[in-house]
Amino acid sequence: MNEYQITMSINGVLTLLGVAYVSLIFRKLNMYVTGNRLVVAGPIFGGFLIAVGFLGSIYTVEGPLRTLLLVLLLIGPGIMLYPLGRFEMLVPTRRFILQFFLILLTLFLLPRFSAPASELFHIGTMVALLILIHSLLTLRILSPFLKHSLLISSWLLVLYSWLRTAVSTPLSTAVLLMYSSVIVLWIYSAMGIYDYLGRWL
Amino acid sequence: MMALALSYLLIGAGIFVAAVSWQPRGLRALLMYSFSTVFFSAFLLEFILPSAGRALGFIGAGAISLVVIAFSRGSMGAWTGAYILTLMAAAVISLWRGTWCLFPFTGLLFGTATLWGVKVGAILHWEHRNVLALSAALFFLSTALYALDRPLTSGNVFFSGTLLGILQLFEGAEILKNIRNRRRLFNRAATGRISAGYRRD
Repeated sequence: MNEYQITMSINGVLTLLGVAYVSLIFRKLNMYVTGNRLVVAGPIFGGFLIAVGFLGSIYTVEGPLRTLLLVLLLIGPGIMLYPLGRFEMLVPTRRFILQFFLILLTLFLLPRFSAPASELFHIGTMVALLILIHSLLTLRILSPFLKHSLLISSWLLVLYSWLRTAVSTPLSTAVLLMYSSVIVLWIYSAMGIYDYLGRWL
Repeated sequence: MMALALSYLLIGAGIFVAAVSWQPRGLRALLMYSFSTVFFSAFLLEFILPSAGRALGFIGAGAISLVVIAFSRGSMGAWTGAYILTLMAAAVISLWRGTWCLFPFTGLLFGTATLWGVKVGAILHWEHRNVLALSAALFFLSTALYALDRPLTSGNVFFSGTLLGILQLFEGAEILKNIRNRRRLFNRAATGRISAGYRRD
């Protein structure tokens, strides 16, 4: 395993932790708001599928297993998005739509990568992460600090989606640090929100 | 190492922002501003003369540990022993092996300091103990990765741990700023009411 793979694996584990926290937040709110289990189970299951698929895109897996992992990467964001959208926990704000399309526009960068198929699914993962960040931004209990952390995280994610072509250049460390910052800012906000909810509810 | 330099910049900025918000006086002010200067210098030196930057970063971490020991007034028990042992080991091994081991010991000291933060979490009401625990885990993981000869990943993980820890300082600074603003508004309103009442009489 090279250092890039180890770093991305650690970030993947942290992402899973973040997904778990988002689900815990919705589980707490679920008791008072929607009363539907899908809101809790959806992000967990979708996050798990993305994590498994993402590991497949990092490591060199060939054959039918690779196809299966890529399909998991496709299904994961859908499973994550569906319950959040259905129970109005994801409001499509202008900012969200803009960031969503800015990430989708990185499809034009695909010819620059040696493995365009896995990069295509990488975009799917980033969109899922953006959805998770925005699902927390829709909460009205956010303190200004946590709101700003989430906003910085979402814009850094957009920036990372455009700069990730620079992974094999001298700027690679900065680009990886940018991705780590996205994850850390999002996890911090999720943990903070969960902590506040734990004190109130 | 860019990750390490940015971590020092974050620590320096975190301590500086905390000092500006808390407005401490006397020895505390001197300590806080000196620490932020040490870490800002370590950030600059990391680019010009990395070994000196690392030495300065380690000195900063050691000094913070000594302050933690001093402020705990012996209430830390096993943690005091852990700090002193780590500092002594670092001093002996760095004399023997040179600056190579300064970075992992910096991570170890920060990890122990963060764990102490988990122990005294009830003192500062904005502290999220789960965040501090994760931050400590990342610092220890960074030390382990460096020992396993993965310097880039180790730096990246160190940066993530630092960012998580420093976000607590920034959030605390904002909470204190809000408290001060509310108190000022309350005092102004109270003074206005008193003077209005005085005029009516």
